[in-house]
Amino acid sequence: MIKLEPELNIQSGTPLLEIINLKKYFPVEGGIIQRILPTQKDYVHAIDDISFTINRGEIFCLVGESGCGKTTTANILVGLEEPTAGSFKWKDNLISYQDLKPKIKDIKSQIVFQNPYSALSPRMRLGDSVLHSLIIHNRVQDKITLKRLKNAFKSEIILFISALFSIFLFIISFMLDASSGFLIAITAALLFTLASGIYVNYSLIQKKKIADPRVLDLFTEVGLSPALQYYFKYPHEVSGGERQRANIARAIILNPELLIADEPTSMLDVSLRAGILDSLKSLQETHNISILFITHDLATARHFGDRISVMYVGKVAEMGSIDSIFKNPLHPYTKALIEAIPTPIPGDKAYNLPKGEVPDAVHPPPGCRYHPRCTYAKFPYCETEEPELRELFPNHYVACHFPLNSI
Amino acid sequence: MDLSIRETRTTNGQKNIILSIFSFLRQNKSFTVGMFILSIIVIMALFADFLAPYGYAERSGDRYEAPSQDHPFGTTLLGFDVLSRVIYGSQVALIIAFSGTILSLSLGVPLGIISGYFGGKIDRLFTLIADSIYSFPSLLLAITLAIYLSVFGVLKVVSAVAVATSVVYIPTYFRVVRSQVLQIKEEGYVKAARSMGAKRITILIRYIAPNVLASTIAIIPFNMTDAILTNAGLAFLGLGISPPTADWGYDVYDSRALVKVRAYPWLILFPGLMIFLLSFSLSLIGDALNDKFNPLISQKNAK
Amino acid sequence: MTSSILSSARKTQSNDRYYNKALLEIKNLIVEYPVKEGNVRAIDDVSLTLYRGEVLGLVGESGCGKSSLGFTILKLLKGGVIRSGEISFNDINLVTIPEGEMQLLRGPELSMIFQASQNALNPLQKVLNHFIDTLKTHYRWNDESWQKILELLNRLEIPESRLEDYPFQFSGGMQQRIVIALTLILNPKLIIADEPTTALDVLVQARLLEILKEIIKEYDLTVLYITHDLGIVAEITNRVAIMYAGQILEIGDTQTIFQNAAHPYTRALIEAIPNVKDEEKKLLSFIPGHPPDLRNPPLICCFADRCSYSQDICHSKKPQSINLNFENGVQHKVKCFIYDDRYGHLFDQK
Repeated sequence: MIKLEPELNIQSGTPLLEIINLKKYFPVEGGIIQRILPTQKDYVHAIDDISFTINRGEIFCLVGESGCGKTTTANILVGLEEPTAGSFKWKDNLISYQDLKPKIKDIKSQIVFQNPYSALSPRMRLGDSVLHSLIIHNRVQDKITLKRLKNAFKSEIILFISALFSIFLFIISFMLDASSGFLIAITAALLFTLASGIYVNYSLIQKKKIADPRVLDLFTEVGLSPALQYYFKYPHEVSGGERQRANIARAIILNPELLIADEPTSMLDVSLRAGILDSLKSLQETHNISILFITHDLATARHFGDRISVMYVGKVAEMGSIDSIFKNPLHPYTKALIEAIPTPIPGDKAYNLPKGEVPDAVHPPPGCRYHPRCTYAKFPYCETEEPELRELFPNHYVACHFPLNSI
Repeated sequence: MDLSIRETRTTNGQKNIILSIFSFLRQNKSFTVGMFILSIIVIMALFADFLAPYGYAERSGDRYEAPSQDHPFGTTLLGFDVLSRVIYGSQVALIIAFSGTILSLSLGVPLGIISGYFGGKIDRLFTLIADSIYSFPSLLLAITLAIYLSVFGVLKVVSAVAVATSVVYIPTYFRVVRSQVLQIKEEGYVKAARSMGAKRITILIRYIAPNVLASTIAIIPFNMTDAILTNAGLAFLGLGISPPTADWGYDVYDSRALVKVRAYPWLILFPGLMIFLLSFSLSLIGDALNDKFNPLISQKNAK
Repeated sequence: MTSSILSSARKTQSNDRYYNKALLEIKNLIVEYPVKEGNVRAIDDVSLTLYRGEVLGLVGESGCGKSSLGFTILKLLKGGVIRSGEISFNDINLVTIPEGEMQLLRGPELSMIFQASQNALNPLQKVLNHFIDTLKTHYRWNDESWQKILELLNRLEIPESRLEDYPFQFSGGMQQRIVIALTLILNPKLIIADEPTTALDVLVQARLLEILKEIIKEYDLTVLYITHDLGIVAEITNRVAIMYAGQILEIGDTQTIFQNAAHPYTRALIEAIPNVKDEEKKLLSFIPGHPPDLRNPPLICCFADRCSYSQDICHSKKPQSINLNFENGVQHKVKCFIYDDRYGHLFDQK
């Protein structure tokens, strides 16, 4: 094998989170017959033994086609899914997932979701949605906000009690079974409901006047200004880009050390995307956060990330610094992905595109998982032996028997 | 109410509750008409003692008197004033409607939320029970329940009817709420709350319940309508409220014979008309609320 | 910057010698959606000509009315009302044509490929039956049909052996290919493709685009390609129309649009696309603000609020479409005051 000169721009930093041999299999729910008969259970190999390290203060991109396991990885890292196997190193301390989970709960990692339309509760104002992450963690200290929350809580309690009271009155009136009993019951219940309704609305308006200063500051920081106006808007009153900014604010307000961004811009228009990424980047720099940026769009990763890991059917195909991977892709899959993205240059033609589709993750192909589609695979043991992820250049790993620099 | 406020705020920043209610009423004609009829019936029920010229079981005239100045709606076999009976009848109708609805709401919604959110065995059990109730013809179930509850003296007749009508509606709330919860559980904001480490109960109260409740609001008027009609049906079959009490359904039942209908049409006309008006107004309100709160429609608006 | 555009573009009367015959002509089309608060003007005074044998890209961000335009041409618009304008297809005025006749045009003359192809296929019908049904509905079933189906399948790289399969057994990319084959089997004169590759993965999309490109060439198709992705447009189209807030802001040759865009919006849009093949990592630019509310829009330039060149005139008047003529005789229209003789000087001073 010919060795090329190693790349010079090595991204080195202190590791924040190291993921070691992470696996996640989902059992396939069979039909009734499969449930009764003791057949071998099938599993979707969503993540099949991946390892990578996220350094402090860097943007680590995880790219791949749909079904490659990138979103599952994100869900595991924020505690939405339990891994099948795997260990973690948090700041150089080896811990199990069970130990990592309290850390997640202790606001170490936060997520920004792909769909800005569903990520905010339609019945909460933007400011309240953000503030709620503080409430969950008992981080609200200032008296005004506490009072406001208390007020809101009080009005809800009153509504609840009035509902209970009216049920009680009805039951009483059944017992009396006289027309005067009906009269009392109906009057009391109606009055009570009316009173509580007015009280709730009143407290809603009361709410409107006081906003949490921390949330306001953050809103300005993520580009939602005038912050006070946005604070009291409902999600359906603002555009997708603004919702995504509120989502980012909600994740950032807890001061996480690791922010997981799961395709935060893929549902937004091109003209807004760069703006969101800009805000993310400046937040990352001012708060010194590490970002795990998950995307299917290599072009965005090219200009946004520091390091990148390309995944294919639950495995890492190639990993390394952005510059080194895009200038010198070693895995045929990475090269195909880069080729396949339509560029805004007329006449620019993609070549060497792989045929076929992403294989079924229940029965992944033996050997190299990419070999059925690989336009370079011509060696028999591509089909039988699984390639190891090896470091060909400093900080540039590839899982391929015949990386492109050797051909 | 909440929704109307939000609307006015978005259009012109108006915060006045009364004004926003008016604008909501102006936009929704069917809601306004329904509310108008309903409030007249409610006033009738509340002030029956002052509005009714006679008592509901007071012999105020001869048998089968035609409508006249003294008895605008005529009299019954026993000489009771039909107008007074119609007015007092609204009390029973509303009690049945409200209490039946509140009972089924207070059971169906929490069960639906629990079943949808926690899933597993609880969910299977609840769904099984709800489905088996659902598979019964509703009137038949109500009849059976009403008979058992009243004959064995568990409850007074009025409450027996209310319970019977509410049991029929519990599975409806249960189903709607459960399917809503299953859907909302997968929404981004619930996942976000979970990833922030929120407790299950917080997620239920803060994120799931408010989004689910909106969809149940649209069912309430239909539930009330059904309760009234079921009560009328029970009364018509002779299983409802016992005779001296003023009840529209019973009055219709009592005068159903063809001979009577030909000779004394007012006996069946006015109580029947009242049943129609009340259920009609509730249906109008229900339709308007459905347009506002139906998850599909409101989602479209949100996007 | 503005002066450089002015020097490269000379304003003359429109010049049609570059293209042969028009297949579809849209003139001053206005489409509105009546809502509670007034009217949402989804298509605002759009004029567009589609020539035989060309691929016209219709590009815009979400909510700009590009899909509405596609549906309007097919008269499948739900809830929208054509307020004025005309659409003439092959000298038939589609605005006034009765629904019964329109039904006959859909399929053999005008056809549409949707984004969600899964919904276009009946899950209970085998793929082969789809082909047979489509042909029989339009009375096109004859002895050669079988040959034609096989040829199309071969062309679109759908294995023949899978004709007996049901749609759900196919992947998203394959389903989209089947839908395209179903569209092509009737030899439509005009195909409206509404984001046909958006839901697909990058590699599948790239392959499908390649096939589409070959087929368009081979069958000499006329396509209106609606998309939000300028990368796809660069790859597949001959001409591009840039749509924003219901209006076509710029229309011209693909090469010219990408290399020498005239409208500030087009430029900003092209600059905002990240290019994966860039040598160096660079900061991406974006357009501040967001598209205007289309409910009862004011009579000003719709891009004025976000435009970095905007002057007072942009906020007070609505620009008219202006013909630019480049040296190679390409037809190029733009809706911007910068290129207007009467107002151009206002911008030069800046």
